[in-house]
Amino acid sequence: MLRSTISSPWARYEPRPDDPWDLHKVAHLHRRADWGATRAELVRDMEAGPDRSIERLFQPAQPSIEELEALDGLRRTARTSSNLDLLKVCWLNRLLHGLDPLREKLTLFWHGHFATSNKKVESVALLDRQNETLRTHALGGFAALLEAMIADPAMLVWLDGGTSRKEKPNENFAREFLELFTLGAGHFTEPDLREAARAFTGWVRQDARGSFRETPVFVHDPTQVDNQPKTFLGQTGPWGPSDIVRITLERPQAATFLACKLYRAFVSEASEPGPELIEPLAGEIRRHTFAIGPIVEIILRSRHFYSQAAYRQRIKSPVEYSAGLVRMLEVPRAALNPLALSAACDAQGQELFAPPNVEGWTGGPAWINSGTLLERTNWAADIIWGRPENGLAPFDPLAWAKRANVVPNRAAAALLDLLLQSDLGEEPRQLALEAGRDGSPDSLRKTIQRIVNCSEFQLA
Amino acid sequence: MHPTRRELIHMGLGTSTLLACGPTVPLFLARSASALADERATAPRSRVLVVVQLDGGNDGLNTLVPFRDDEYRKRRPKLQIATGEVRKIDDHVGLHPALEAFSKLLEHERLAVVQSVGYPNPNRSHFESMAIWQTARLDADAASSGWLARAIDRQPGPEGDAPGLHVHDTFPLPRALAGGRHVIPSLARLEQFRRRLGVPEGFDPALQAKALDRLAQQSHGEPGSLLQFVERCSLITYASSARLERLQGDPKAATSRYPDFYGLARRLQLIAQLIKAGLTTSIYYTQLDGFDTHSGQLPSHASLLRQLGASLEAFLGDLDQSGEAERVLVLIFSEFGRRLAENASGGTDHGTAAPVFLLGRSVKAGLHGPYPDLTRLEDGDPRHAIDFRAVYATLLDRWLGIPSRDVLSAGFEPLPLLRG
Repeated sequence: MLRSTISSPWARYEPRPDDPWDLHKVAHLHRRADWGATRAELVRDMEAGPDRSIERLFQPAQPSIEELEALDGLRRTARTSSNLDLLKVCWLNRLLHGLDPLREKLTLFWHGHFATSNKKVESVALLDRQNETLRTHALGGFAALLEAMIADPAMLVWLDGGTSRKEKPNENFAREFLELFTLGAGHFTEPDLREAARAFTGWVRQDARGSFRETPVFVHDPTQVDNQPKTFLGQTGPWGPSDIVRITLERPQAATFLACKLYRAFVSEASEPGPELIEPLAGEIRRHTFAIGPIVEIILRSRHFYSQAAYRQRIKSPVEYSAGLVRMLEVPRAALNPLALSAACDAQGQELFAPPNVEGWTGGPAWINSGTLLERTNWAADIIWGRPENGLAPFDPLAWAKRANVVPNRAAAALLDLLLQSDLGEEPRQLALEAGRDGSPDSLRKTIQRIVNCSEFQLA
Repeated sequence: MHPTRRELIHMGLGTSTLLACGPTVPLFLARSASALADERATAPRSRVLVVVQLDGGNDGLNTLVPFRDDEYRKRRPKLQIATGEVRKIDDHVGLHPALEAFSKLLEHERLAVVQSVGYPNPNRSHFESMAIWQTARLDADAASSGWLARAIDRQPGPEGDAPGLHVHDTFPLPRALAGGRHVIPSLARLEQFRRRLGVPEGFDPALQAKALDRLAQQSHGEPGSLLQFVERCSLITYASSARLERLQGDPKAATSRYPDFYGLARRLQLIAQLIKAGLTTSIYYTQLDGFDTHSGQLPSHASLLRQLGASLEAFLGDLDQSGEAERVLVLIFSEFGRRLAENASGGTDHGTAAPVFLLGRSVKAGLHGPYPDLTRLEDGDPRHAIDFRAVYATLLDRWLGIPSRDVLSAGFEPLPLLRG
């Protein structure tokens, strides 16, 4: 028992003289668990060691009343104006400036998992509500999250569950529930799917009876529920939605499926992980009865996570890339119109609240082509040199250096540590450092631009 | 686009850099060489489909005019095109006089006209009918993916340039290209395909540009790694922008005249530039808006058709001059045609079947499909004779080399619209 734990790839990473807790590992942790570390966070967590650094991610400070009120105001404006861009901005603000970036990371992960798009839902209010539900359950129990999604109004529109009655069960939601949310194709039969669809019946859209409402309202009508016995995944009973969730998660495949998804999101997109990696992780998922937070914590603390098998083995998503640069450089709020940030993410192929299809964003190499790569480096150019017509002021490297307590002619090296550590070849390194040697603002801007133009910077 | 060895060296990637790339180089260069060899050939990979979507429902009956038809004369007392003005194709139909460019293209065997194209149980809502055409699904809902997105997903993985590009300054990415696995960029101006340097004058932007060029040419990634993938894309991006830059500065390239007061002409010119720059992009998509001619149709429709004809004539001429014409095919469609009977406002309302146009050197020029039968109407509209998905199947199977059955989830017999 002890031996198997120790040899598991998911055993805890412990710093050793030949494998120390260093700048690379701290920056890696933050690229994966949040949106990239600021210099102060790098310094703090190098000092603090892995235990404290990871613990902190799971124990965020509470936002102040003023911050909560400001956020509520923004959300209300987005909802009442039905302006999706404002809702995007609201979320981007949260992941840039909020106190719980890990939760935002998971919220985006679940958004990609449940992949609900405004293209069909056409309601900013319902997407805001789903976003809040995802956030609430982001690190909680997977079963509770699935049950919340079954009853989520945006999801009821997206996958047609909201019009599923006992005489005519709609199979769209049941299919994706099994194929995309829990088990994967090939792990259930068509009869299983039809039985699940019967269990998900009972929703009635209120505005369907003539009274026009801008935001659809769904009520669960007991007379529309199929209460008859169903045989689902080999178990027979008068199953309702929570039974379907329970029976599905009892399948060993459910933990394996979730392990694969978490692996791709938090560990590596470079190769398909083998069972020697996935099965121990799936075992942990079962052992923790699908509690997401503890599983993510196991990943972030693991030896495998800090190994070369994971290091820079993901391609940054547009949100990770674009918001990450803003966050790492601590671009002041006044210097950045958040609408420009959300437009940049859209142009790079990740429009929040509008994933391309039911499978969500493909991720990995699909993010990158000559068009999107130019959008990425052009966004960086705008952040660095400013673009007044888009509401972007030039980045002020001297103010940054002053805060970081670095003298200007050493700032180039400090910026390299911040943005890319030393993960680049000798020539790029020289190119980056020599540009900023004199420590003037424009020289340092050139340094930053050279760093972010390195291919390594596209990797998380 | 894969740069050739000569180009790599020209860009400053000397032999030593190439050697430093390690074992990946031979394969990479071998593939570039073969890609180049294919450039003039007709290998499906190098073929390009350009889609021009006419938004609003183009009046097919005044585009391809059944000038001999009494029903046409009777139902269109004000809007009919006089027989003397029609550019006759045969004894029954001819082109609108504003489409003079199309009759020239027909003479030069560059134009195929498919008559009576539509689908069963026609939908007369712009949005819904366009969704049907763009998704190639009669039961399309908001979550259905585009037919071209599905086609792209059935091609080999990304190779640097985007598999499809949408070119328009105000329209969002069309459904036809949405919902697939790849990110399809939308661009309005060539500037978007250019690196924004940002460095102000006086701070030596040239030096910074040179440094960024060097950074785009690094290769440190292990074979098959994500880093190597990004590095290749960087190199290809850099090479594509550099070629575009060169093309723009090339006086020879500027000789082809576009009527650039037309938006469509400007967009097609941009597409031509991208094609000439050798992007591996196989699908380009653009739109022309304004075809919803419910009132005062005569002048507005004529001017739209003039724009359409003149823009495409310039585009095809440009491709001819640059030796790219063999590998480019253009599809022109609209979400529906318009009613046979004109309305009281000097316009026409939403209809159904209409002609679709294919342009390029590879088309079997002339008329295809039956004339619309104006005596056998369904809800006041001519019935469709050719399913639009059969046109798509032809383009997929016979032009792009992508099995149409997979994309359309149904078997449609390709039509004899292409040569060879």
